[in-house]
Amino acid sequence: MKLMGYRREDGRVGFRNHVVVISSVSCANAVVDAVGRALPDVKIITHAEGCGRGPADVALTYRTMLGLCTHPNVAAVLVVGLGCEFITAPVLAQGIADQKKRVEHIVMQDVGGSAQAIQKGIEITGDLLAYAGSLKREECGWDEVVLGLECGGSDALSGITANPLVGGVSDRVVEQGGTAMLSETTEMIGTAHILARRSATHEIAEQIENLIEQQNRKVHDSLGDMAHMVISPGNVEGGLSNIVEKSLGCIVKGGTTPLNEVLEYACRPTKKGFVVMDTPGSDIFSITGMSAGGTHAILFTTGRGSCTGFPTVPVIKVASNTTLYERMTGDMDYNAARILEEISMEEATDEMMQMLAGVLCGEPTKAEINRQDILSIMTMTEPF
Amino acid sequence: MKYTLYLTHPEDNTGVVLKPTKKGETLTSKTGLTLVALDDIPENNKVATADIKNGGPIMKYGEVIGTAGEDIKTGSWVHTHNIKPEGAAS
Repeated sequence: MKLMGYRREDGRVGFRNHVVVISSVSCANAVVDAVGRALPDVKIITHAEGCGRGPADVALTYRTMLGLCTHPNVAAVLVVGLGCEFITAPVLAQGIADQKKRVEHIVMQDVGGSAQAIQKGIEITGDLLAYAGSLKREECGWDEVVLGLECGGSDALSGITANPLVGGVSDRVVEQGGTAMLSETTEMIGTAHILARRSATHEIAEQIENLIEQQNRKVHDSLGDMAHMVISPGNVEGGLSNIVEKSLGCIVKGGTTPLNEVLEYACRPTKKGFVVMDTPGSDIFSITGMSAGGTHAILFTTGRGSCTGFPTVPVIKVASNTTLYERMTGDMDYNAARILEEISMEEATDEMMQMLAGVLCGEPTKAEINRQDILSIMTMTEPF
Repeated sequence: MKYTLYLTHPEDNTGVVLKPTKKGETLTSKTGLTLVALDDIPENNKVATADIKNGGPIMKYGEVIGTAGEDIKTGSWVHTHNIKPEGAAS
């Protein structure tokens, strides 16, 4: 299957050609929103961060924003800042420019306030849209694809239909030289021995074991007596006997190839093949981290019916059961329950690969059609 | 629904029942496996697709998800009452 993408100046290939307008701090969100209303073709990124947190969180937020702005699916960026924040517009814009992405910035306090910033923002963004429109797709390979893997709103069938199917797609992408990224460390608890065995080196095995053990402790610290809820009574009623079985049903999305790298939140893979990113189990934080790490598209399985998309990354919704697929057909891209009756896993994997290729080449996903542009940046400490 | 049993991996010794199952009902998988349920089994729960000895591995996804806590006969409900967890972090 031939792929067509946008060759970016940093050497990566993008499969969307978005112009992003982002706030460097939450104080600039209203200006960003106004530019987005005036020019609905742009992707706006607003958030609650950029100031008032400790240095570790400032660094994490900056890394996340930088990853989102330099993403190969993005053609150009406008950064809007207030002027007195920790993460300022000129600093973020310089970071983006250093990675050879076209970028402009506005500081509200320098241009005379909200109305002037909105006016200037609309003018600049109009130019950026014209620039993006001049770019053309060219042929590229699967080895340049980074696929994100996610589940949210799971049900008893998620681990039986949708997740194994996504695992089949992961293997295909990896076989063709690409990258498949699994996340949500909480949902790996109980499977450290399995992921360690799959690791390409002893060092990676140690990293994944330590990461999962650390997450296990975090879960116990934050949930206390509720820690057992990681496997809930509802899971047990649904037929899951223990945490190993539950987590296996999640990590099966990562297929069967060796684990080549363990990444921190919002970091870009340096290896191809199957990789893991340390993210929370909460799916919006997770897809934000993976997107900042450069995933071109995300296969997202759901049993209850998550509608989540992402501003700059196409999210493909894989329903685990037919009832959901039929009830929420406007949000679901594929019905994985077909493998139970109509078609083989192999045939379903072929279909999903076709769909993925189509989406990468520009076919909109249901989440894109619905403009389900949702994003949450992970933080570690309280604001002060 | 045509098939009532689904195996997540060819090496598994458990399958998933795709509907609420009564003792004595015959279950059939797309791969042609047929067995009779020895227990009432709730939807999406596991059924033994082979005899499993006490202490033997319980397999799903081609992985060991636990150890049999008793001798388990083909067709039996496999769940928390007859599985000991394997390799769990907690």
